[in-house]
Amino acid sequence: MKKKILVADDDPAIVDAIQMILEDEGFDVETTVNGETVGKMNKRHPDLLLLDIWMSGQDGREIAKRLKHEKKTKNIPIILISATKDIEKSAKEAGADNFLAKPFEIQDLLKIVHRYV
Amino acid sequence: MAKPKVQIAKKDNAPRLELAQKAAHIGTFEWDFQTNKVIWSQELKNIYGRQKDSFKGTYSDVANAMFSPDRKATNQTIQNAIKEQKELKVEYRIVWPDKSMHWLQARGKTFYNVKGKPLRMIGVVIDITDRKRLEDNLQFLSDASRIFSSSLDFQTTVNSVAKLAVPHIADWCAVDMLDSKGEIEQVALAHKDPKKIAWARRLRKKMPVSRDDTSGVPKVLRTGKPEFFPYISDEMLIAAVKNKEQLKIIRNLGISSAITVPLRMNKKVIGAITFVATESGHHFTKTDLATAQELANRASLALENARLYTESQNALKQRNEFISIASHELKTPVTSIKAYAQVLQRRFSKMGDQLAATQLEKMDGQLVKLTNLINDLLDITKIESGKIMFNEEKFDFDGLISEIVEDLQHTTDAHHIVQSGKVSKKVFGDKDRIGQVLTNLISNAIKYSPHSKKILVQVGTYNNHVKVCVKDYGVGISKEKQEKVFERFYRVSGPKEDTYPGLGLGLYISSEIVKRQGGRIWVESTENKGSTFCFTLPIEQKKH
Repeated sequence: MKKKILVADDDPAIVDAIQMILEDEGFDVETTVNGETVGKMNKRHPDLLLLDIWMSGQDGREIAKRLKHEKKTKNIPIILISATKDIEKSAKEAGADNFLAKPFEIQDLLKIVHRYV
Repeated sequence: MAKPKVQIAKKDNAPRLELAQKAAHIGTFEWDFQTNKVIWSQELKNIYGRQKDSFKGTYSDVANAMFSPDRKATNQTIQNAIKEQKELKVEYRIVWPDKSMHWLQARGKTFYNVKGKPLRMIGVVIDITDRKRLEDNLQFLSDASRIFSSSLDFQTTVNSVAKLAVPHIADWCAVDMLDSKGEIEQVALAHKDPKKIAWARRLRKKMPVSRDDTSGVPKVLRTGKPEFFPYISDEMLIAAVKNKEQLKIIRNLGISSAITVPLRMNKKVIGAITFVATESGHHFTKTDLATAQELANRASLALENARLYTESQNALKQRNEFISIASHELKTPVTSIKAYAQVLQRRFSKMGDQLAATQLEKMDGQLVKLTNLINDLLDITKIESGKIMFNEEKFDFDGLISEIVEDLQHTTDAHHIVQSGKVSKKVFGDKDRIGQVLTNLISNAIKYSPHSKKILVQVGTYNNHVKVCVKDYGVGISKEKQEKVFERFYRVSGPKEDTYPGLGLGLYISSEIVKRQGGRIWVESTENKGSTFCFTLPIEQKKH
């Protein structure tokens, strides 16, 4: 079975572009532009979560913290993505497994993704 | 027959002399050392504020009238003049029976017998209170101006000036300002005794000043005209207070005189400075009023400067915030365009359409430039607002250099970047930021040496520091421009004064990074021969 990656970013174009990259790489990609739906994963849990730090209405770091605290979701690796480089530290404090600054090189994205799935 | 005539003349002269002394405000004295008796002229009694016959005619009575802190030094000066057979000239303060303070100047001549034993002293005394007051006022104004120009923080300066006013200018000095709601707020209050300040603050809470009060600060705020009370009578107090309790408190305070002058900003009255005389018993004069008005003018100017400064700082802050938000917003579309370009490039490459793939690669290269420009703008706002952060850790310095040299070699076919030297140690610092400095220096070397091939990157250590130099053989920088290259927005122009593309931010950002990482950055250059940019960084973590 293909590994599943959930991509959450409030910008549809970024979600779309990342989906193209990851699907070309052979992943099963699920997307959302709404931060509030990230925590409510009833179906099969993703194997990796790519999460924007500043989702509209929701701070990606808060989502990461919450998921890392819950038994069911704490083992899902989380990569936080943000246009602010300086946020790396607080991203890691929120429990994110890794961090990627926008805009990024495909090869850097894939390098990090392959570390977890 | 001649004798009585002279006596008549003498008798006739005495009142005239007295009149002359009174008109000139000059008092005379005669001090007999044998009997220790002191004789004062009528005018000297006036100068000492004495009622008829209240002067005991002894030197100890004279000394007792002196303001106690001045007594010892004044006596010493007098004794020295007598001993050294010099003319006496001394200035001292006295306290009148009504407790008011006065400055006197005494001059005296001592007479001796043939053996040099002092017999008596005669002399003149004048009241120099007004002159001293003027000197104090001028000194106060000059000190206040210095304080106003020393800081743009109005609250700090106004406190210092109020403190400066007491006790020489007034016993109390208060500054009231209108707050944003138009209420009167006391922003400074000074008295030589801190206990009294605390008491006055409590009193103010109990009896708040109302904007509608008919006298004092509220009136000055309404009219913009100074209030001047040289003499404050009990009737005036009764008229000013609202109830018996207030009257009791204000009577106990013993106000003798008061001045309130308006403070203006942007031509509007926004506050007032008040001077009050209490225990000194001083009565303010027109000179004091002029001093107070001059002080208010200078304070108004300081306020105006502070306002303009705050305004410009706010504008700067707004600009920085705007650039910060704009840069951030720009990154979102750049991120998706970049991702699309790269994914399409991969797809075309796989399909074997090399032309399309190469064009998309070029597009990606342009997006890298765009990203760098946005990052430079963001860095500037971070540096200027003091929000630049460093993620410091130990990292492989040599590895970083090699990585960057290799990356940048890919960007140019015309140059050969030659790396030499090693640190062979881990260095403590922000790897990304230090990499940014090196990238900037090598990119500049490429940019500014379009017609030469070689670029040297030399790495070494000394004194627990790493030193990195980037040498090119390009256009170089003239001596006078070398000092400016690290300034914001400065751009080096070419031989025909044509400028190279760029925002002129790179070296400024690099120098700020190096400085904040505890290092130094500089340039050595000869025009048309090339430039060498070097920077140093401490190897170990700074000890805090």
